[in-house]
Amino acid sequence: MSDQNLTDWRKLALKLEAEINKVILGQELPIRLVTNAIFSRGHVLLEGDVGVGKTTLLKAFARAIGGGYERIEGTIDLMPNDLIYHTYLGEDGKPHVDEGPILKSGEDLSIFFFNEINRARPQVHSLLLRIMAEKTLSAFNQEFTFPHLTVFADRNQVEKEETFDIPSAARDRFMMEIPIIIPQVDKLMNQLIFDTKFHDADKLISEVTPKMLKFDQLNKLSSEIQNTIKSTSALEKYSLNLWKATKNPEKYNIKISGIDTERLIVSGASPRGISMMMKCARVSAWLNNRTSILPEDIHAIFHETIAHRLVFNPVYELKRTEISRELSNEILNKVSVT
Amino acid sequence: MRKIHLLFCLLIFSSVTLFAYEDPRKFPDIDPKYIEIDILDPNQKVGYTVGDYIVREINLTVKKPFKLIEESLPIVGYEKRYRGQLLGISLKEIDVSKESRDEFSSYLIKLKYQIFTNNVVAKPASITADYYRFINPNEPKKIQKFRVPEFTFAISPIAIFGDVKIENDMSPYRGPFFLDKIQGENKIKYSLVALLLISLIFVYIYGRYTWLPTRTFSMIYRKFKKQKPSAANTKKIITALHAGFDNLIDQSLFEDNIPLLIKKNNSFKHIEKELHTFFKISRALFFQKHIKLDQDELNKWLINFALHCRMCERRLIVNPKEIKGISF
Repeated sequence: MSDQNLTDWRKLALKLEAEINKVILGQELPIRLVTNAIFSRGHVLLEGDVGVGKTTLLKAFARAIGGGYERIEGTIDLMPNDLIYHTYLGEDGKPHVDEGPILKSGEDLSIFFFNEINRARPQVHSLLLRIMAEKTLSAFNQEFTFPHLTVFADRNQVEKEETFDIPSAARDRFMMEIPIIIPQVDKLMNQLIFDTKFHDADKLISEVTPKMLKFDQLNKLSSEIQNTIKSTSALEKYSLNLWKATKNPEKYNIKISGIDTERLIVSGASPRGISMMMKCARVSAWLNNRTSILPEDIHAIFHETIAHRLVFNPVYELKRTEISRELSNEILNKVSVT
Repeated sequence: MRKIHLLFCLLIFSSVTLFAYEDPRKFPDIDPKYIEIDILDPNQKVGYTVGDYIVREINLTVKKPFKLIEESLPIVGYEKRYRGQLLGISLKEIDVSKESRDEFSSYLIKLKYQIFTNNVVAKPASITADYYRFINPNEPKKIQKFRVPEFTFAISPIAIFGDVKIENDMSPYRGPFFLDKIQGENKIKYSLVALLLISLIFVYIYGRYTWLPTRTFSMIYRKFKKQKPSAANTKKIITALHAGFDNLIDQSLFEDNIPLLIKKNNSFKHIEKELHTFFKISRALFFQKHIKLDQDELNKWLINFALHCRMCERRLIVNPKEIKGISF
């Protein structure tokens, strides 16, 4: 793939971003991050309160990307096999077996949208782990592959009843966990209340140009971006220090009010996490029309690629959202580049 | 013989004294047609007391052939008398200016009297009439006089009559009056403490922001100002400057948090453009290897930038004309 192609793709990526920004108000940053994840070929978990537009955002992206799109709702009685097949009695009175949402689109499955993932049981999470990490599935005595698959999932943190915490291993499979926060700008809030255009989510999403990207070329494009965008030894050293700081924040003089940083971290970012961070940083540099990664590219995606991978001491786990934001900010503030 | 000598001396003394006190009123009055007088007396007629001055201005025109005998004018120090009694008013100053024309001579006489008397009640007083003498050169032995009218006024007491005399009112219930020196001493003490505090504040401000050589950018500038241009040296100074900024804001400074630095020290606002250029250089050097840099130009720019940072650290304002860009 030539530089010209990368430039064309970049224009397309920015167009995709603009298209989503047309229908989702005041979420420029999450939209930039999801765009980044798409071109980094990573799975995305959206986290936020009820009714903030998580599902609408993911559906809008799913429409614009193209390819096979499947969706499932997380419920407490959802079992892994519900993802793979479902049985029913046909008109002929005999039992039939059909492919479940995972298998329905076959290899063309581009987006698998798991709504309210934290309502599903850990068994379902386990199946998803394999699909997300290996993009394969064994069923009916055969191996299915999903080379173009991206999992979009969302969860709300308000409700705790009939929900299951996503285990750290499953969280680690997600390239990014992106917080969605209601924009605190009166003009936008007014628009959300009074502009009827935003009241019908399905109609709104239908305004997004469908299949803007050639989904089956995204993998190739992604590896081209990763090969083209360079990093220097100074940046590699900086990344390494950031990684170390996620493991031992106290060694970098990182202090959080009311938190014993020596006891805070049970496990820092994983090697997979750091490599995903660097992948996203390269895409960030590409989206900003650069050929080298800058520290700012890492900053742009650091919290979203790292914070959800950190395993905190159970004492602090209940306040994960606040602590992880503060910790990632402090790491960026304290770890020096040069 | 001795008595004769004493008598002779007495006669001489008496004749001199008598001449000195010669009564001017014995001379005939000059015909008024030869004299024009205009007197400017003070408007204030009452309320004079000991020490006050009274100024009279007399404008006198004497027509020819007469001339004023200037020796007849009052003499400084002369004390006014009434019926031989001293009035307590004496002449302090006299200023005479003369202007002569063909037909007349005019004199402007300014007289300044001072009052040396007072009374417990108001009393009338006056600057008694003066007699100026005139001579006609054609008849030098016939001296004539002119009476300058008096100026009457009232002398007022300093205090109201019946004012308490302290020596007659020594009540045991009233303590003696002392001059309170403690207040004065306290004022001096407070002033000294304030002066000391102000001096300390000035020393602190001066030390904190101006000359102390131990401050971060002072040390950086001193360390690198003579360095020779090379890629390694450039890296060193940029690293030191980054560390300086990090130290100043107590966290890593990046281009997007320059406002933090400005919030911490507003002087950096004046070199904001240079700060952005610095980050551009730093990025090019550490993260964008493909950008080529002129080490010589870069070195000069960085040393100048370090100097500007030192000025900002001292809360000084960098002259905008000294802010230069760099091309790469």
